[in-house]
Amino acid sequence: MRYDIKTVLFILLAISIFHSELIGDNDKDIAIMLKSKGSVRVRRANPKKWENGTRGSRLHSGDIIKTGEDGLAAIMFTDDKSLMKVRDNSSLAIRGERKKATISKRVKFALGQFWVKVNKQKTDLYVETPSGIAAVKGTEFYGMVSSDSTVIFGIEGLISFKNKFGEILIEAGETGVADRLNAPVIVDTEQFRVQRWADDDGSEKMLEIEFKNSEGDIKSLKLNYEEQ
Amino acid sequence: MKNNNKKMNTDMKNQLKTFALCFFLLLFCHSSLLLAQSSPLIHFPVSAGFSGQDIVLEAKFENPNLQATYVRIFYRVQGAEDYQYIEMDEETDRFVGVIPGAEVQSPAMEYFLLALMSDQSVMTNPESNPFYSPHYVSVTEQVIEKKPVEKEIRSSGGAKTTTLILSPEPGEKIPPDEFVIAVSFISEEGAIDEKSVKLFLDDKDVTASTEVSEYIVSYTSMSISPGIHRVRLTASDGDGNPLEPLTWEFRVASTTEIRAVKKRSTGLRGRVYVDAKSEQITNEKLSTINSGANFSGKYGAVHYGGSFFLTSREEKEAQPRNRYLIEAGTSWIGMRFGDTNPRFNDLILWGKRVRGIEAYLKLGFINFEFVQGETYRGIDGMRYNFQLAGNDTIWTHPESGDTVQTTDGIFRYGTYKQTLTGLRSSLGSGRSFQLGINLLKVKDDVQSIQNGITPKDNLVVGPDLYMAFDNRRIEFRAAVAFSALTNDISSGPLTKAGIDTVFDIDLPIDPAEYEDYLILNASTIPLDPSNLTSLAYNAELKLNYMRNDLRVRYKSIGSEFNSLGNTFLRTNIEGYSIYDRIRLMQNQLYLTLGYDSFLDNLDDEDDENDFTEPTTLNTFTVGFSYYPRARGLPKVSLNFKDHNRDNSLDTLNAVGNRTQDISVQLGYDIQLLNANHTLSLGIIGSDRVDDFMPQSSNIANDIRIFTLRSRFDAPLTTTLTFATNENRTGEDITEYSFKYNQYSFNADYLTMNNKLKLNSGVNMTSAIGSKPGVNGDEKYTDYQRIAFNVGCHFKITPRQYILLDGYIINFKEKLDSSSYMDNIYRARYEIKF
Repeated sequence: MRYDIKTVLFILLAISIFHSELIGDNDKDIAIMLKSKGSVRVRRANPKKWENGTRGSRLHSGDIIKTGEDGLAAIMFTDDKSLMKVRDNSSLAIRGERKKATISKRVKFALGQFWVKVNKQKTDLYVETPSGIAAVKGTEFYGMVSSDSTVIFGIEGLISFKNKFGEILIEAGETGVADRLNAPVIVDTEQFRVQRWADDDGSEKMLEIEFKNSEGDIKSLKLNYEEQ
Repeated sequence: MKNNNKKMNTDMKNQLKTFALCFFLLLFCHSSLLLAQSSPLIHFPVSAGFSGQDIVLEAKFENPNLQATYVRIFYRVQGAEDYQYIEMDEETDRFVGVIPGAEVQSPAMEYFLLALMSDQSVMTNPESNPFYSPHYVSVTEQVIEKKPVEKEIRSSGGAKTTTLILSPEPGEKIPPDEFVIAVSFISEEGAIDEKSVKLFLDDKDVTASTEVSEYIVSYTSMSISPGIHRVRLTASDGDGNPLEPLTWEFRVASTTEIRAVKKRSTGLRGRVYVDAKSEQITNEKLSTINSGANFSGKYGAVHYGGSFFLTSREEKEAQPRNRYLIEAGTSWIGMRFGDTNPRFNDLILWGKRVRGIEAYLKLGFINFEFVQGETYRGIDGMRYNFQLAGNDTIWTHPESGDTVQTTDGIFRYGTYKQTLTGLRSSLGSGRSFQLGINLLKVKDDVQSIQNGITPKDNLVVGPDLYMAFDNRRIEFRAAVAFSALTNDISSGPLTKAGIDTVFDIDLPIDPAEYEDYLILNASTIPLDPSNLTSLAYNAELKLNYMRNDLRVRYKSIGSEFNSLGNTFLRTNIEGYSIYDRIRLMQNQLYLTLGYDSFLDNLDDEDDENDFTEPTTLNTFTVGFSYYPRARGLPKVSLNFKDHNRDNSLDTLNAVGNRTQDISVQLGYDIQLLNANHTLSLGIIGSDRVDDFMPQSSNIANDIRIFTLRSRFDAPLTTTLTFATNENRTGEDITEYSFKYNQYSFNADYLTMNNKLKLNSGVNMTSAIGSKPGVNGDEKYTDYQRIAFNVGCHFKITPRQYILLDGYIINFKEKLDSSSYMDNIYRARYEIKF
């Protein structure tokens, strides 16, 4: 009986390894790090170990990326050139599954600031944060994520932003805010200014927003992508 | 007092005329000697470049004892009205300067070097006629074909796969530190055999350093040079049938371009540095400390910035070497305080340094620009000492104490403090239309010094126009300016009564009432504005169609036109130039054709004097550059220029000479012994034959430069250079020659994770100069100079570095057996933020 359990466990383990290897092949190379400045660390999903994220690093499903105080990373998905730039003091995990010529992409963004641009959308790109999920139906947006709230600012197209309390559609020029206890809302952006300091080459942009939240408090949001 | 001054000035003018005549005769007799011996600013010219890429120039003094106040590169796009300049940085044993890539344009750039020495003498390279016969750099327009990033490629066996170029995109310009080649495969299983994938960068097989999986091919390198690069990816399908190769090109930005982009970026950034240099040259010690900083940033819509440069060589008795600037503004309003270089148009104000205030208000439909400040500081001259001996005055030299003869008692004339005020107003944003009107006033402050000569007052006014059509493929520019210059305002303005007395003319106005605008007196030019001799105008049309870049330009600058806002403008000339740059063979072959036709010394045309006539200047230029994409072929650039000057006279004032310049540049990339080698060969020849004064005016130069630059994986970079310059002046028994050879070997080695760069080298030069002697040619110099250098560049952090280097130089003059050992040490610390 005991022998049988061992056998079963062994078979289960073998199946598990075989299965994980199979999945691993499908989820390999879903993205590549095109830019890495300052402190950028990657924790590999398999085997689980931390290493420096460098220019040219391949990223696989389940990898976790953390940027330090001076960190900046640009990550490109390999099926459609969707590009995500991550600022300093950010933490995220990327997940993806290959489906023929596309990758189903999901980014778990725990903390920090990012900018996303989707050049040609073949599948949905989801950005999950502690207070909501943004599904990209548009092409470009900024985000600022803390443990309590998430701010999304649309640059082009539409972004679906939802949590368990509700859903909104953010259009270009609009700002959406969500926290853990309330449905996302479009906030009254009192003043905003987008300065495209780089040429139209898909590189960085800088954004400064002042907005009024649902309680009438004026808050400011600065999203800077600078050359480091 | 004023009358005395006037008499003094008249006497002085006569003396100057006599001096000039004597000097001319002396020059005529001995110019070949001067030309042969005065080649102390050594520079091997650059003859080919690419649009948008920096042109790096180096120069050094043949005699390292010489001290320069500055060495400047004066440069312009061929056909442009005048020059801009940048100062060269003094390095340990040479000067290095960069013509910024952003200003390098086809069809060609022209430049010369000018060194102002500490004794106020000037040296140039080329030595002869540098303003009008500068060095010529053929510039090739780099055009990269835009290709789609996604492409379906097929094999001969029928398998197909889709490739997606992730980075860099075809035609994309990237900074070197963002270089990653990445291609994604989107294909059915077995469409690509991973092991068959090969990646070539600039025809070098980099597959060994490439990461290949069934989904991506990626390659990166820590070092990639600025410029255009070509990628080629080959692979086979699962059955071994080759797939159609994937090729594309991209561009790596130069340092200047990156700086320009960073300057536009947000946030505060800048750098602070301190640089110390100690040198011992022929037992004389000199220490220099320079420090500087610059910063820029943005706060909302406001951009701000500043810079300063402080040097221990700043002296009150010389023009400022220190520089200061602070600025702030938005896209429509702003101000600058400090040393600025304002530009209105190239006839009136064009890059003159002004220490003061500059402001702008640009509303688009109407705009204003204003500048006011000091262009020269007042530096007083020096008088001879004198004592009375009875009825006689005895003058003595202030330094040597020797007795001298003088009429005005001035040993050295000073420089007046000069102020410049400019105002430009314009209609239109300048994107496709702008009509401007410009006003410039420049005046010397007569009271600023005691011992000066001919303080000036200058007024220039004129409109300009810019129009562009068809997405700027057609551009038209035109400008007109009228100037008035009073050459000597020391005696003040003439009054209405004075004119009536002197010229017997009853003017309806009193010129003295208008002295705030311009002081009018007998030295004012033009005295008769109706002759239009102080009128200048130009027009330029640019067309960019059917792979042709055609520029047609016409200009006429009157003989008495003077703008002290642009003192480098060539006056007394009119004519036109036509240049065309044609791109052929899918932008691999560039053909340049150009023709200039000008009439110089215009005022000789109507002077009713048969002894002087205008000089015709005709220049024909032809060049081609071949930059093949195919592997194993050399890059070739060949340019030929033919100048003719002729005034149709055969008397003493006759001008008739022909100069032919030819330059050949060859570049060849090879791989050998696991290293990349770039072999380049430059041959530059110039030959001037003068029909009337061959003894003094014939000049021939023959320059050959061979360079082998090798990049090893170590990472070690070595550069081997051999260069020679043979210079001949005069003819037959008056022929002087000067031959200069240079051999150098330098190596750079990167270590400590690229934080430490060690460099070392040896540079050997030898020169022989000979002149005609009683018993045939005899040497007037024969020396050898060997310099060893060692140094390091250590990155303390990514934004902080320290540089240390030193030179030991051994010099031997064989003719008098003299020799000396010099040393130069330098340390620099820089931090960026």
